[in-house]
Amino acid sequence: MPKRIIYYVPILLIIVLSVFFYFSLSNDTSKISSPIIGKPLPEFSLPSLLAGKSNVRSEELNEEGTFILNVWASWCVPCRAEHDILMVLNNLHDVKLYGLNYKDKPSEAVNFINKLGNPFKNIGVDQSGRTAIDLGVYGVPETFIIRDGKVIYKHIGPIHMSELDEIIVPILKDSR
Amino acid sequence: MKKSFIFIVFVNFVLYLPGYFIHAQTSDERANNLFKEVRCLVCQGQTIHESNAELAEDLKIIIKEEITKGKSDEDIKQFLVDKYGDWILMTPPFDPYTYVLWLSPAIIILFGFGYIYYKSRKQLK
Repeated sequence: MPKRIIYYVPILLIIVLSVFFYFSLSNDTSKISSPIIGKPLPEFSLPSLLAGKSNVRSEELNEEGTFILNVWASWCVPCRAEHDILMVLNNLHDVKLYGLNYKDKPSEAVNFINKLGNPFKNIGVDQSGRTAIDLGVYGVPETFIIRDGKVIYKHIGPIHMSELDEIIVPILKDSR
Repeated sequence: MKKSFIFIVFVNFVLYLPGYFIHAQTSDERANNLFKEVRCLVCQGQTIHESNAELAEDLKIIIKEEITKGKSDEDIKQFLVDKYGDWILMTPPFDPYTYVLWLSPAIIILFGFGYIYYKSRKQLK
Protein backbone atom coordinates (compact mmCIF):
# COMPACT_ATOMS: atom_id res chain seq x y z
CA MET A 1 0.00 0.00 0.00
CA PRO A 2 2.63 2.64 0.90
CA LYS A 3 4.29 1.83 -2.43
CA ARG A 4 1.16 2.87 -4.29
CA ILE A 5 1.18 6.30 -2.70
CA ILE A 6 4.48 7.13 -4.36
CA TYR A 7 2.81 6.89 -7.78
CA TYR A 8 0.49 9.73 -6.87
CA VAL A 9 3.33 12.07 -5.92
CA PRO A 10 4.04 13.34 -9.47
CA ILE A 11 0.35 13.99 -10.11
CA LEU A 12 0.02 15.80 -6.82
CA LEU A 13 3.15 17.83 -7.61
CA ILE A 14 1.72 18.83 -10.97
CA ILE A 15 -1.56 19.88 -9.38
CA VAL A 16 0.22 21.96 -6.73
CA LEU A 17 2.43 23.60 -9.36
CA SER A 18 -0.52 24.30 -11.69
CA VAL A 19 -2.42 26.01 -8.89
CA PHE A 20 0.67 28.04 -8.03
CA PHE A 21 1.27 29.04 -11.64
CA TYR A 22 -2.39 29.81 -12.18
CA PHE A 23 -2.39 32.32 -9.35
CA SER A 24 0.95 33.75 -10.48
CA LEU A 25 -0.70 34.62 -13.79
CA SER A 26 -2.87 37.23 -12.15
CA ASN A 27 0.16 38.70 -10.39
CA ASP A 28 0.42 41.99 -12.19
CA THR A 29 4.08 42.83 -12.62
CA SER A 30 3.22 46.37 -13.65
CA LYS A 31 2.25 47.07 -10.05
CA ILE A 32 5.79 46.84 -8.80
CA SER A 33 6.09 48.04 -5.24
CA SER A 34 8.39 51.01 -5.29
CA PRO A 35 11.38 51.26 -2.95
CA ILE A 36 10.60 54.97 -2.53
CA ILE A 37 7.64 54.21 -0.23
CA GLY A 38 8.50 55.23 3.33
CA LYS A 39 11.38 57.43 2.22
CA PRO A 40 11.55 61.18 1.68
CA LEU A 41 11.61 62.49 -1.87
CA PRO A 42 15.13 62.47 -3.33
CA GLU A 43 16.71 65.87 -3.60
CA PHE A 44 15.78 67.97 -6.58
CA SER A 45 15.29 71.58 -7.55
CA LEU A 46 13.50 72.16 -10.82
CA PRO A 47 12.71 75.41 -12.60
CA SER A 48 9.03 76.26 -12.64
CA LEU A 49 6.95 76.01 -15.79
CA LEU A 50 4.84 78.91 -14.58
CA ALA A 51 6.14 82.42 -15.12
CA GLY A 52 7.27 84.22 -11.98
CA LYS A 53 7.22 81.16 -9.73
CA SER A 54 10.22 79.92 -7.81
CA ASN A 55 11.84 76.53 -8.32
CA VAL A 56 10.06 73.41 -7.20
CA ARG A 57 12.30 71.93 -4.53
CA SER A 58 12.07 68.56 -2.83
CA GLU A 59 12.45 70.22 0.62
CA GLU A 60 9.22 72.05 -0.01
CA LEU A 61 7.37 68.77 -0.54
CA ASN A 62 9.13 66.99 2.30
CA GLU A 63 7.75 69.45 4.85
CA GLU A 64 5.05 68.66 7.37
CA GLY A 65 1.66 68.04 5.82
CA THR A 66 0.38 66.07 2.88
CA PHE A 67 1.55 66.78 -0.64
CA ILE A 68 0.73 65.25 -3.98
CA LEU A 69 3.24 65.19 -6.80
CA ASN A 70 1.89 64.29 -10.23
CA VAL A 71 4.27 63.42 -13.08
CA TRP A 72 2.76 64.40 -16.42
CA ALA A 73 3.51 65.53 -19.97
CA SER A 74 1.47 67.19 -22.66
CA TRP A 75 2.36 64.41 -25.13
CA CYS A 76 1.00 61.77 -22.80
CA VAL A 77 -2.54 60.87 -23.79
CA PRO A 78 -3.69 59.29 -20.52
CA CYS A 79 -2.51 62.46 -18.76
CA ARG A 80 -5.24 64.39 -20.55
CA ALA A 81 -7.92 62.14 -19.10
CA GLU A 82 -6.27 62.31 -15.73
CA HIS A 83 -6.08 66.07 -15.86
CA ASP A 84 -9.85 66.39 -15.39
CA ILE A 85 -9.61 64.21 -12.32
CA LEU A 86 -6.82 66.38 -10.93
CA MET A 87 -8.98 69.47 -11.54
CA VAL A 88 -11.82 67.81 -9.61
CA LEU A 89 -9.44 66.83 -6.83
CA ASN A 90 -8.14 70.36 -6.57
CA ASN A 91 -11.61 71.91 -6.57
CA LEU A 92 -13.17 69.59 -4.03
CA HIS A 93 -10.33 69.16 -1.60
CA ASP A 94 -7.80 71.36 0.02
CA VAL A 95 -4.70 69.66 -1.34
CA LYS A 96 -1.18 70.76 -2.02
CA LEU A 97 -0.92 69.42 -5.53
CA TYR A 98 2.34 69.83 -7.42
CA GLY A 99 3.22 68.87 -10.96
CA LEU A 100 6.37 67.49 -12.49
CA ASN A 101 6.45 68.11 -16.22
CA TYR A 102 8.35 65.16 -17.70
CA LYS A 103 10.38 65.45 -20.94
CA ASP A 104 8.10 68.00 -22.48
CA LYS A 105 8.44 71.06 -24.68
CA PRO A 106 7.79 74.00 -22.33
CA SER A 107 5.61 75.76 -24.90
CA GLU A 108 3.40 72.72 -25.35
CA ALA A 109 3.21 72.14 -21.62
CA VAL A 110 2.10 75.75 -21.10
CA ASN A 111 -0.51 75.34 -23.84
CA PHE A 112 -1.82 72.23 -22.16
CA ILE A 113 -2.23 74.06 -18.83
CA ASN A 114 -3.77 77.14 -20.44
CA LYS A 115 -6.31 75.05 -22.29
CA LEU A 116 -7.23 72.50 -19.65
CA GLY A 117 -6.69 74.51 -16.47
CA ASN A 118 -4.05 74.44 -13.79
CA PRO A 119 -4.73 72.34 -10.70
CA PHE A 120 -1.11 72.63 -9.54
CA LYS A 121 0.36 74.99 -6.94
CA ASN A 122 3.57 74.85 -8.91
CA ILE A 123 5.04 72.77 -11.72
CA GLY A 124 8.65 71.67 -11.95
CA VAL A 125 10.18 71.12 -15.36
CA ASP A 126 12.23 67.95 -15.73
CA GLN A 127 13.33 68.07 -19.31
CA SER A 128 16.14 65.54 -19.08
CA GLY A 129 14.01 63.08 -17.13
CA ARG A 130 16.80 62.68 -14.60
CA THR A 131 14.71 63.68 -11.58
CA ALA A 132 12.01 61.27 -12.69
CA ILE A 133 14.57 58.46 -12.68
CA ASP A 134 15.62 59.44 -9.16
CA LEU A 135 11.96 59.15 -8.21
CA GLY A 136 11.76 55.70 -9.79
CA VAL A 137 9.33 56.85 -12.46
CA TYR A 138 9.11 54.61 -15.50
CA GLY A 139 6.12 56.00 -17.29
CA VAL A 140 3.78 58.92 -17.21
CA PRO A 141 1.51 59.63 -15.48
CA GLU A 142 2.61 58.64 -12.01
CA THR A 143 1.47 60.20 -8.78
CA PHE A 144 3.17 60.32 -5.39
CA ILE A 145 1.54 61.19 -2.08
CA ILE A 146 4.03 62.53 0.45
CA ARG A 147 3.14 63.02 4.10
CA ASP A 148 5.39 64.59 6.71
CA GLY A 149 8.47 64.03 4.60
CA LYS A 150 7.75 60.45 3.58
CA VAL A 151 6.28 59.04 0.41
CA ILE A 152 3.26 57.05 1.54
CA TYR A 153 1.70 56.10 -1.77
CA LYS A 154 2.66 55.83 -5.41
CA HIS A 155 0.09 55.54 -8.16
CA ILE A 156 1.23 54.19 -11.52
CA GLY A 157 -0.82 55.21 -14.53
CA PRO A 158 -3.69 57.66 -14.67
CA ILE A 159 -5.96 58.06 -11.66
CA HIS A 160 -9.49 57.08 -12.62
CA MET A 161 -12.50 58.69 -11.01
CA SER A 162 -13.23 55.50 -9.06
CA GLU A 163 -9.63 55.39 -7.84
CA LEU A 164 -9.88 58.99 -6.71
CA ASP A 165 -12.84 58.06 -4.50
CA GLU A 166 -11.54 54.72 -3.34
CA ILE A 167 -7.81 55.31 -2.92
CA ILE A 168 -6.69 58.91 -3.11
CA VAL A 169 -9.36 60.70 -1.11
CA PRO A 170 -9.33 58.16 1.78
CA ILE A 171 -5.54 58.61 2.04
CA LEU A 172 -5.94 62.39 2.12
CA LYS A 173 -8.74 62.26 4.68
CA ASP A 174 -6.72 59.94 6.86
CA SER A 175 -4.33 62.77 7.66
CA ARG A 176 -6.91 64.92 9.33
CA MET B 1 61.45 26.51 -42.61
CA LYS B 2 58.15 24.89 -41.91
CA LYS B 3 59.25 23.96 -38.44
CA SER B 4 60.33 27.44 -37.53
CA PHE B 5 57.02 28.80 -38.82
CA ILE B 6 55.10 26.45 -36.56
CA PHE B 7 57.41 27.41 -33.74
CA ILE B 8 56.73 31.10 -34.24
CA VAL B 9 53.00 30.51 -34.38
CA PHE B 10 53.24 28.48 -31.22
CA VAL B 11 55.30 31.10 -29.39
CA ASN B 12 52.88 33.80 -30.40
CA PHE B 13 49.97 31.75 -29.31
CA VAL B 14 51.47 31.11 -25.89
CA LEU B 15 52.43 34.75 -25.49
CA TYR B 16 49.06 36.13 -26.47
CA LEU B 17 46.93 33.54 -24.75
CA PRO B 18 47.10 34.99 -21.24
CA GLY B 19 46.12 38.35 -22.69
CA TYR B 20 42.69 37.01 -23.50
CA PHE B 21 42.07 36.10 -19.91
CA ILE B 22 43.72 38.97 -18.08
CA HIS B 23 42.41 41.49 -20.57
CA ALA B 24 40.68 44.24 -18.62
CA GLN B 25 37.18 45.14 -19.65
CA THR B 26 36.88 48.47 -21.36
CA SER B 27 34.21 50.78 -20.05
CA ASP B 28 32.12 50.12 -23.15
CA GLU B 29 32.16 46.41 -22.49
CA ARG B 30 31.30 46.99 -18.87
CA ALA B 31 28.42 49.21 -19.90
CA ASN B 32 27.16 46.61 -22.37
CA ASN B 33 27.34 43.85 -19.79
CA LEU B 34 25.38 45.98 -17.35
CA PHE B 35 22.79 46.79 -20.00
CA LYS B 36 22.17 43.07 -20.33
CA GLU B 37 21.47 42.75 -16.62
CA VAL B 38 19.05 45.63 -16.30
CA ARG B 39 15.39 45.14 -17.05
CA CYS B 40 13.57 47.62 -19.21
CA LEU B 41 10.64 48.50 -16.98
CA VAL B 42 8.51 49.80 -19.81
CA CYS B 43 8.84 46.60 -21.86
CA GLN B 44 9.25 44.19 -19.01
CA GLY B 45 10.45 41.04 -20.74
CA GLN B 46 13.44 42.81 -22.27
CA THR B 47 16.72 44.13 -21.00
CA ILE B 48 17.62 47.74 -21.66
CA HIS B 49 20.29 46.37 -23.99
CA GLU B 50 17.56 45.10 -26.32
CA SER B 51 15.26 48.05 -25.90
CA ASN B 52 14.98 51.41 -27.58
CA ALA B 53 12.35 52.71 -25.17
CA GLU B 54 13.07 56.19 -23.96
CA LEU B 55 13.50 55.17 -20.36
CA ALA B 56 15.90 52.42 -21.44
CA GLU B 57 17.97 54.97 -23.37
CA ASP B 58 18.03 57.27 -20.33
CA LEU B 59 19.13 54.43 -18.07
CA LYS B 60 21.92 53.55 -20.52
CA ILE B 61 23.19 57.12 -20.39
CA ILE B 62 23.11 57.12 -16.60
CA ILE B 63 24.95 53.79 -16.42
CA LYS B 64 27.65 55.13 -18.73
CA GLU B 65 27.93 58.28 -16.60
CA GLU B 66 28.29 56.24 -13.43
CA ILE B 67 31.03 54.15 -15.06
CA THR B 68 32.99 57.25 -16.03
CA LYS B 69 32.55 58.49 -12.45
CA GLY B 70 34.46 55.38 -11.44
CA LYS B 71 31.59 53.50 -9.81
CA SER B 72 31.82 49.70 -9.63
CA ASP B 73 29.25 47.44 -11.30
CA GLU B 74 27.85 46.56 -7.88
CA ASP B 75 27.48 50.24 -6.95
CA ILE B 76 25.60 50.93 -10.17
CA LYS B 77 23.27 47.98 -9.69
CA GLN B 78 22.60 49.03 -6.10
CA PHE B 79 21.86 52.56 -7.30
CA LEU B 80 19.24 51.22 -9.72
CA VAL B 81 17.75 48.86 -7.14
CA ASP B 82 17.42 51.76 -4.69
CA LYS B 83 15.40 53.66 -7.25
CA TYR B 84 13.36 50.93 -8.88
CA GLY B 85 13.54 47.86 -6.65
CA ASP B 86 14.95 44.36 -7.18
CA TRP B 87 12.71 43.84 -10.18
CA ILE B 88 14.99 46.02 -12.32
CA LEU B 89 17.72 43.36 -12.24
CA MET B 90 17.25 40.40 -14.56
CA THR B 91 18.83 38.09 -11.98
CA PRO B 92 16.76 37.92 -8.83
CA PRO B 93 18.72 38.38 -5.58
CA PHE B 94 19.42 35.45 -3.28
CA ASP B 95 17.27 36.20 -0.24
CA PRO B 96 14.67 34.35 1.87
CA TYR B 97 12.02 35.29 -0.65
CA THR B 98 13.87 33.53 -3.50
CA TYR B 99 15.51 30.58 -1.69
CA VAL B 100 13.04 28.13 -3.23
CA LEU B 101 13.66 29.58 -6.67
CA TRP B 102 17.45 29.32 -6.45
CA LEU B 103 17.68 26.05 -4.58
CA SER B 104 14.96 24.04 -6.31
CA PRO B 105 17.23 22.74 -9.14
CA ALA B 106 19.75 21.45 -6.60
CA ILE B 107 17.00 19.88 -4.52
CA ILE B 108 15.48 18.16 -7.56
CA ILE B 109 18.89 16.81 -8.64
CA LEU B 110 19.52 15.53 -5.10
CA PHE B 111 16.16 13.79 -5.17
CA GLY B 112 17.07 12.22 -8.51
CA PHE B 113 20.40 10.92 -7.25
CA GLY B 114 18.76 9.70 -4.09
CA TYR B 115 16.25 7.80 -6.14
CA ILE B 116 18.92 6.26 -8.39
CA TYR B 117 20.96 5.26 -5.35
CA TYR B 118 17.92 3.72 -3.71
CA LYS B 119 16.99 1.80 -6.86
CA SER B 120 20.49 0.52 -7.59
CA ARG B 121 20.91 -0.68 -4.00
CA LYS B 122 17.70 -2.59 -4.33
CA GLN B 123 18.75 -4.21 -7.57
CA LEU B 124 22.10 -5.33 -6.14
CA LYS B 125 20.26 -7.17 -3.43
